[in-house]
Order: sequence, then C-alpha cells, then structure tokens
Amino acid sequence: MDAVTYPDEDVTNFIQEHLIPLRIRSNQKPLADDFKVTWTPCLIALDNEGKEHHRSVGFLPPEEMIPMLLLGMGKTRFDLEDYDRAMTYFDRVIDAYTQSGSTPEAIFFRGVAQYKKSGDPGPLKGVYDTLNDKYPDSEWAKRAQPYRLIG
Amino acid sequence: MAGKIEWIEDFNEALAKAREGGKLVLLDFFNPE
Repeated sequence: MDAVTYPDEDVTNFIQEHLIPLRIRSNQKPLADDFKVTWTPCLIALDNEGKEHHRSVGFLPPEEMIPMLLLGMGKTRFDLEDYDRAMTYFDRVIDAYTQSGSTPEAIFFRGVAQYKKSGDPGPLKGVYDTLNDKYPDSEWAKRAQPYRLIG
Repeated sequence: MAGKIEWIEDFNEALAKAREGGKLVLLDFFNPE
C-alpha cells in the first residue's frame, strides 16, 4: 500500500480531503485485539465514536481504493440511518467506478437505503434487475435473488 | 506532485478530529515489519 496505492495522487487527495487518516501497528494492543485484526493490510471505516462500519482486508490497487472508501463512507451513513447521504456516496461509486469490485455492493445498499427511507420495496426489485443485468456473477447478485419476487 | 497522507497515530486524537470536522475515520492497521 505504501509503495503503490497511498502515493497515488488521487488517493492521497481523497483521503486528505474526506477522511481522518489513522494508522495503527497491527501488533498494537489492545486496539488490534479489539478490532480482531488477523491480517494486513486491514482498512476499517469508523464513525466518530470509533465504531466499525466497513472493512477491507488485503492489498487494494489505486483504482479500487477510492470506490472502497466511498462504499465504506456510504455504509457508515447507512448504519447511522442517514440514508440521503448514504445514497450520495453509493451513487458516486455506481456512476464513476463501473468496473470496481465495490460497485455491486454499492448498488445493493443503494437500493436497500432507498427502501428503508421510503418503505417502497420497488427499489429492491431494481437492485435485483440491475445486478442481474450488469454484474450477474457478483456475490451481490446472488444476495439480491429473493428480490426478484417483488411485484 | 502528490502530497503525503498525514497519518494520525493516536486513536482518540483521530476520533476527536473526526467529531470536530464532521468526518469519518479511515483506520489502517499495518504490519510494521
């Protein structure tokens, strides 16, 4: 990460502008145990109370880093029931990073956030349709399978 | 020329800055070896 991803200008600028970057050694007690860190790199999105909302384990190339961070920011807002802001982050992943491994999950949670905000199950069917059409081999297409039954 | 990420190394300091700036925290556990 230090050799390839963090020196990338877009990655650096994104992190500096949008996040508070915190770096902890993987053997630092008690934090490493508290977060059950067993492998590195291990990147975790935290809210301002220190609660975890998204985790990525293993190397990420520069082109995957920003969509993963946006997904984590969206999932944090989703967990905090701030659905409008969550959808804004998910939309940025969906619109700007169509080839990213984070995009199918962003589509999934974008639909769930819309459903939780409105109570209308229609967006869940939209999640199934979109994932089945554009990312049929993703695990998130499988997770959305029950939504195909929504009328 | 890209800048450098200004990492914080103290957990509580990072949370305080997150509250102050209305931001979230990116926590990177790294292998020091």
